[in-house]
Amino acid sequence: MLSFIHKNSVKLAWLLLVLLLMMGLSLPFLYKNSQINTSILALLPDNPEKAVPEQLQQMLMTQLDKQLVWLVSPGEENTTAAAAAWLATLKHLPQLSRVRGPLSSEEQALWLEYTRKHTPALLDTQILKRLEQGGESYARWVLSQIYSPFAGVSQRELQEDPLLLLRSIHSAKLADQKFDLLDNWPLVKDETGRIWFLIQAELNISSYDIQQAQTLTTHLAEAKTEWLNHWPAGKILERGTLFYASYASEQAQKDISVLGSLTLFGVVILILVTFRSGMPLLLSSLSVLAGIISGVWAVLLLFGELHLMMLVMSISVIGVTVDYVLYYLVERRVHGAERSSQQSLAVTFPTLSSALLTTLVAYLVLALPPMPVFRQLAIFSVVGMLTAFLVVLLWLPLLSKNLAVRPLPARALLKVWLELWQKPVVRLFVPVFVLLLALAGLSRLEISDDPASFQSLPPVIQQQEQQLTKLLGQATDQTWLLVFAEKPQDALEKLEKTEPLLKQAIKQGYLEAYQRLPLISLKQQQQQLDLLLSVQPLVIEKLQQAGLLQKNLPFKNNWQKLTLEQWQQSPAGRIWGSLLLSTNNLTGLLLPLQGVSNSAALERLFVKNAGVILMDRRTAYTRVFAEYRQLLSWLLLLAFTLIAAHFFFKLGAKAGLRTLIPTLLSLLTAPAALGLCGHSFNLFALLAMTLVLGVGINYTLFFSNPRGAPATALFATFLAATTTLLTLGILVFSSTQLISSFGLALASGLLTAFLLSPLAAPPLTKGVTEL
Amino acid sequence: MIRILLLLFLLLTNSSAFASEAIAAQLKDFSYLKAKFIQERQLSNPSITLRSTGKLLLSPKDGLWWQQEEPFGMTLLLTDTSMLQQLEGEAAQPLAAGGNAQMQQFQRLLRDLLVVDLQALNQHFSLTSLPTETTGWKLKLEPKTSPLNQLFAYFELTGDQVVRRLIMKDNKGDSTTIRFSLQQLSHTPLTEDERAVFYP
Repeated sequence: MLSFIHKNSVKLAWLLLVLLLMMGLSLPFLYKNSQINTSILALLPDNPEKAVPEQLQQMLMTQLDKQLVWLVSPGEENTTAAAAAWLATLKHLPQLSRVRGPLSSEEQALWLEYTRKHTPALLDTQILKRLEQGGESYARWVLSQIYSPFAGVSQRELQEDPLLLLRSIHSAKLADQKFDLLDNWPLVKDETGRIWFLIQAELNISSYDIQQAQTLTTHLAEAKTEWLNHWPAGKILERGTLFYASYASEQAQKDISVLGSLTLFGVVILILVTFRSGMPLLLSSLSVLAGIISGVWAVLLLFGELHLMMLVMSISVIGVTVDYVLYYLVERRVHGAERSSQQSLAVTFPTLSSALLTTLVAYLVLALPPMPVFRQLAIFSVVGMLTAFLVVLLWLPLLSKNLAVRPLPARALLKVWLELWQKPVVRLFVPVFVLLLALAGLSRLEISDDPASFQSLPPVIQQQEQQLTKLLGQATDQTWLLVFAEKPQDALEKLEKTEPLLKQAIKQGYLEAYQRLPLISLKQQQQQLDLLLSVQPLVIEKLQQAGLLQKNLPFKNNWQKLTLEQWQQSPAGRIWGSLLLSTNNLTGLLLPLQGVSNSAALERLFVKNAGVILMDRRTAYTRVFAEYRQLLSWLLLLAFTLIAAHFFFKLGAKAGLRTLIPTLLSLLTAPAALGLCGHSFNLFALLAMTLVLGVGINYTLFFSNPRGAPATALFATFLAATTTLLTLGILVFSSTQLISSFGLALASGLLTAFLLSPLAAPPLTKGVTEL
Repeated sequence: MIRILLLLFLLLTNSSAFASEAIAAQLKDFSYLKAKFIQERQLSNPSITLRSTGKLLLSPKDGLWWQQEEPFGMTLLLTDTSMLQQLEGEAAQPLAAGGNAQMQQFQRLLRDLLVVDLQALNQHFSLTSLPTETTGWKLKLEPKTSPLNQLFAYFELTGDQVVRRLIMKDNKGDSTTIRFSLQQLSHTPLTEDERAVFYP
């Protein structure tokens, strides 16, 4: 292969350049047709509920992400003016729609018209119960309502609605509402008696459209400050994915710029100090740039979007890609005089390719679990590293012909370091110390697959959300029952068949309550209409006998059926619309469940009903995390066993064991560091361990070369480890906790692998002095 | 419905605050109020008057028990936790579905009213004192908040030492007049038997 490259090196180099240019030029086009995804959820597995159709799952997330809620407290006075001012502000924002505060008189009129038109579809359980008892009994009830001083039934009402259906439906609707009203404003009171008015809205834009979301949150923050100037005693609480997304993207952007520039700065300094020349820096940038362009290109092409979190983590890849250049340049720098640039390539090629191979395999494993961010990171890294490698292979020999040949810097230090590792005390004491430290950390380590335990959300926003959720008396558990079918009416009928099961589950204590959208199937509407029509004549007759209704006045019903489309346009549809997921060929009905105490039993209850699925995201995530944690554990164990077998076979028992120690300890210290820092062990830690094995094994491989380590390899390894640690380790400082904990495991593992790697070397006789 | 009930409470207990400080003081810590009532509902089309009679028991601690005896038996019970209507010979039915926030709100307002909280009263009504032909006082209450003002034109309350008559004019031309008699206002607590009506 090398000879082929050697013969056609110029042609191939230009081919690579043309390809890279084409990728670079098509990037703006690809970028325009894709989006930047800032969802913090992207760190969690995709589609944890496999039984739920992808379309519905996505729609559910879109619906949830759209919802915004505010609670506005005026302070000591119980005035609606403060809330009205905030409502007006919100209504002016073009990014928001369906901004709902108090029920306006127009909306009330709409409700009345809707109720009047579709009465049979809206009957509440009490009316139905009364209707079932027959006309005689129903007439008695109407009479009692007329006599009751509290009911206030007017004659006009009686004439229009002799069965008093409208008022019954209205009072059932009020009863369903959990809120008090003041001047039609829904409100809640906290324990101190402070009142909070409720405002709801929907986002017109995507929560994850970074620029628009940030513009909106900035605007809202400014408006809030202004509002507080007017109402100094007032308070506003807010809730919505928007705020998390905006915060997360801000943090990620900060991470990218701060950590990215720190890394770059570190690598630049390292290269300048090592080579004291601008050329290597230029060549390194070339290789890294080529890696980034091709990596981003591949991700955009394959996924159609870029995750911001992926970009944060991709910083780490810089360190790995720059390694290949450095390996080669160190060789040129030391042996540039006696070897041609192509000969240098031949010398470094085996080392470079084996390093590339192990690293590629490790990064490919990242794509195994269904987590979008890690899949993108895997693709980005694999393509990026391959390209960087190709740049080294094809372009560096052409560009580095005239690199100045100088001795290596910091030779003394390197020598001391290696000589230190010749001492038996060090060779015994350091690994034992590391082992003890690792055991201490491991003993504190807790395994947790629950995403809530390791996904930390920004405290300021979370605190507001918690207070708001508590005030509204809502549950924070995101558990739903999803009922779906191809046709809307089938879905509604299915829901009607499922409801008895849910009621049974409540009785058995599996859950506390559920919520359903107030729409029934046409089939059930017909049944209710039949019931109404069977009772109505007798009631009217009785009322006429009592002299309450004129005898000759014929009574006409103008009732209409309520279709799904009509419902969506109705005031009810505007409020409950988020519980309906409808796509071209699927209709999903979402029932939020509260106080689910026995998820497994619930699941068993619905397992036989096709198209009825319990969606318990937390449990589903936990399950996926556990599954992949186990799978990856086995894979890691397998990889380690293969490596161990290889060492033992190649080096014999004693040397094999010695060589294995750095790798083993690096795999132990990665999770141990998490334990020491109070983080839990989960799939992310295992992914970090995979990289520790894939990247860290390289250091050992070079040192374990039984023919003795040439100075260049030693120095290159040192340089590579430093850049990798610099770039991977910097993730520790990420403001996203998951990434930071991933970085912690990675950095501690790699540091161990690097520090202990000289242990793999056989006692040196000539190598150290050669430096 | 709740609002009307609330208003009745208010009228039975608090309007006197405007008439006489003495009555206000008297009403302040009473343990219960018993009375008989005659109610006439004037419906306009077809013109008909529905007359009913019965008795009531109001205890700030327990709630309101309203028993219609004629022309048919019907009991209304309103407490902190339930609003029930029971027709003679039938099972009690909740007046409004569920334990709802509206009712909670009403119950809270009720307590405010029972301790003659003029501020709370003013939140929902404009109050005017009217001249009377006889001794005593007359008060007009015009609802100013929704949904009360959508349902009612005004209320009129007449009394002397105690509340004598309540007129409710609704917006659709009907009116209801309730006359109270044999009022008993007591500061001694209800006996266990008497209290039992609130806890069926």
